[in-house]
Amino acid sequence: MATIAANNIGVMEPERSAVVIPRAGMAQSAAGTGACAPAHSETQAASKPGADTTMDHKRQIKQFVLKNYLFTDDDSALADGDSLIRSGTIDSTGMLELIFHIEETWKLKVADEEMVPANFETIDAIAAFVARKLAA
Amino acid sequence: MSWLAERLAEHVHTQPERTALVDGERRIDYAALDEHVNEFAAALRTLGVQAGERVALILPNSIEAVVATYAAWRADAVVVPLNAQAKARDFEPWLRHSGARLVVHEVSNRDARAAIEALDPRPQVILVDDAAARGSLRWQVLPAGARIERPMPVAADALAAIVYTSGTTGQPKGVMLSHANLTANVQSIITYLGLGADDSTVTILPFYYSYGASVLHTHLAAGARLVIEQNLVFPHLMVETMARERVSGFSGVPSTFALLLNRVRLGEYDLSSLRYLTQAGGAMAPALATRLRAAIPQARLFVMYGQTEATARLAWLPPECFDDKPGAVGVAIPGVELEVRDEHGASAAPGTVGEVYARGPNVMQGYWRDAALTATVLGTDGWLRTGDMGHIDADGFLYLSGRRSDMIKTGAHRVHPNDVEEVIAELDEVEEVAVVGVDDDVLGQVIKAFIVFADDADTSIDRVKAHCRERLAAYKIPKFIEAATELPKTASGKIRRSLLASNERREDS
Repeated sequence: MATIAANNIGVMEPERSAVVIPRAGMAQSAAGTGACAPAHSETQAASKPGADTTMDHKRQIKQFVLKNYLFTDDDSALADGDSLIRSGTIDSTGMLELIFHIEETWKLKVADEEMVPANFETIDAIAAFVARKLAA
Repeated sequence: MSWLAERLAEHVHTQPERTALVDGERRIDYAALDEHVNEFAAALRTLGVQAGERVALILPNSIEAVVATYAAWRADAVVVPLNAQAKARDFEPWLRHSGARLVVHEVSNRDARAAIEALDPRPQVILVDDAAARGSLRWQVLPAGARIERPMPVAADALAAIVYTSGTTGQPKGVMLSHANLTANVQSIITYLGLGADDSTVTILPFYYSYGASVLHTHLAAGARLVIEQNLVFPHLMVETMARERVSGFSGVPSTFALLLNRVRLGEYDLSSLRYLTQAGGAMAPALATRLRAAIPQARLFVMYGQTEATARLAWLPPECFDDKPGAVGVAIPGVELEVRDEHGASAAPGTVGEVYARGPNVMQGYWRDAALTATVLGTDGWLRTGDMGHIDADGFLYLSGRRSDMIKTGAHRVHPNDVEEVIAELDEVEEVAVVGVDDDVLGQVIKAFIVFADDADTSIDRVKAHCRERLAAYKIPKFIEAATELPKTASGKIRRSLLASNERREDS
């Protein structure tokens, strides 16, 4: 299957030092809803509501998406303007998990009517949405 | 020409201006749909596609996917609808195995392109420009061809579609459905749902799965209206569409209804036009079904059961029987016989659990180019071995109680553990892997992998997941990964997936 792999979209090689799993069975949630998701706790630790800039929001949101949906630290794996939905990066349950993460991290509430592509289609759109919500 | 394509042409005479499809901002009536189908069929002929040759479609739900399907039938070709979320490692064996003469895919689909480039000879390609902002249809280049004259009717057992249900590097499994299969199943469903030209639905079920295909074909055969929504990422937007379009029906799998009930305040939308709901694709928890019926009380809920090998549908539960027969998937649909057999192959007494068999005009012709595999499920007497376990009560109602196979049902998808295990096993640091489905409140099941890593392996779960992400459709990526020191095995050394799965259930409870 080497031919196919070579033709695939760039092979992502996350850093080997990422998360070393213990030999004893420890389950982890792919989407970071579990208590032991490192990306989740890192972003929470870095977030100080009110002190963030839009760039910080963007960086944090992107890290969460890279870590939990693309399983990589490689920033180039996703452009800020790429559609998360059309590209298949995030599906319906993934979107719920992302919204939950945003609500938890910035202590805000995303209303149903705010769950629209204009606010969640891209990393850029999500960062702008979070900034608007925090400014309100 | 196929009966379904014939029906489309008939609607042009009886209701040319009635809307057939809505896809985003595009609305298309039956006359225009028929015209586009003729145009595409002529293009297929111009490109040399002959009767019986395979036309593979790698397309998300769209007007183009519908046009290409019906055009292939009008050109007497065989449609091979492939899962548009799949990866190159799936497409290549499917395209090779089906012997696809032509592939229709979106310009942006790099996996489709990679798979096609690996084939020799390469199939011809028609591209859909998915970046096109507007326009009627988005073919990048469609060769102009002479209009197809009304062809002779095709033989009833002529092949209409090959539907791949699983199998990547191992053994592609292509369900062969004839025009007669499709016709029989569509007519049965139209009968018990009472579908007519005044009906309409919003659909999110992919046309490349049998459930989604049955929703599409029943509505077009009935002259009804089908509104295409791509996904449930923004569930309340889909409900807004249902209300705005005043649709009369809606079809989903259990996770669809769980998302709607949990995430959308359904009471805030005017859904009074909904006269029915259908549910298939795995058992729905009784509590969820009860909530659904309370949330949309005027809509009759049809619980259904079937499989791709039976075109789509085998059984339906009349809504009036829902309270009397809790947990049942219903009675055989018109024209179908259902039987439960014991381990000796004898017909089981009412109430006795055994394997479910089915016979009827919707039962497949077999697996494409695999007579040996066909013989394992399809008898010469026409009875299909479904692989599902269950019993039939004294009134003839079927109840399911699991499957003989390890197939995982997650959302609307079916995943064979082998597909995921093969990919994970490619990693050097993986010594052994077993994949099972574990219960999930919304999706029914999610995928969990147990991995025995090589000693001293400096391994991250992310590396395993990133590897899967590159090679598998997103829904096949394990949600949970657990490192294990060893995996349970049978005396012959086969991994006991069922034991791993049942251990999970015990830990949950």
